[in-house]
Amino acid sequence: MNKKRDRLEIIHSILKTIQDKREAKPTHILYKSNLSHQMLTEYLTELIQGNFVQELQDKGKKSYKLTDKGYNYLKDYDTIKSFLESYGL
Amino acid sequence: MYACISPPWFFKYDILFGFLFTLACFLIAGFSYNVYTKIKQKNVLCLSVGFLFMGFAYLSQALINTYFFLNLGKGLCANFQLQHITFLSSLSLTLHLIFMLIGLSFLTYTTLKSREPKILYILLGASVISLLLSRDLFHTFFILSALYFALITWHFVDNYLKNRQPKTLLTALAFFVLTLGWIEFIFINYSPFFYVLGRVLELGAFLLILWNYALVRKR
Repeated sequence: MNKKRDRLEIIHSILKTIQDKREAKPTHILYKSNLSHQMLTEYLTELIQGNFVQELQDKGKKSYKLTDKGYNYLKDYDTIKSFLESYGL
Repeated sequence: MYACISPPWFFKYDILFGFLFTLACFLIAGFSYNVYTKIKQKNVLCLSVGFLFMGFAYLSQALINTYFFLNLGKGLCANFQLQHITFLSSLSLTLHLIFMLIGLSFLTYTTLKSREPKILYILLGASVISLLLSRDLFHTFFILSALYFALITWHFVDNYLKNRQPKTLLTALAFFVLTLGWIEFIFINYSPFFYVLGRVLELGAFLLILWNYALVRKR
């Protein structure tokens, strides 16, 4: 696997965690995605900027939920993964 | 070329098969390219280019065969000079041969672990040199293509053994059947039956590829 794919898998893991919880707290995402705090912050910033994830604030506590673009990415990811697996790429 | 090899009763089916194979190749090439634009993985781009050139190979063959077929009814010899027919046959063969070998070189390169571009140039160079040194162009082309298909099949069988799923099995089976089909083409000098058998096997293989494509898209 190359670095690009690893990155894709990390993004998938973050988005999937958020999707499973509907609204996920950073500690839960951190635990599920097995990333350092700094790495997670970088990825989340990127995902928010890319409009895949929306940040919510409730009484000073942050949580994240998927946008439509985030849901579409997860849907495409499964198809892409399936295609890559079928050709062993 | 195929205007002469294909038995007259099989000719129109041959053309239909050609267009179906073109469609299947373009479909996989287009989808692979779409995946490439999302993940920017170079081997996916190579897969796309490989199928694209294979599609061009089948398309050039199908188009020229269609041209022959439409004019056969009008009396080919009356309408065209022999030189003209020979030119079209040679053009059909040359385009088919070049596109197919480029496509197969890319597909073989995709299946290799090394991503060195040199390997792709070696594959392309080896194909050209083999053809240039060959006494029987058709025969060498069929042997070379069967060899490439066998190498590609090896990768897909290995992929299936590592990841036993219906989709990996379908891909492995499709390329195995394609290899068998192209092995049949090696013997077309002996009987047109081998050509028909090869084309029918190709049809089976492309149906498996399309089935796999449908399974992937259904997710």
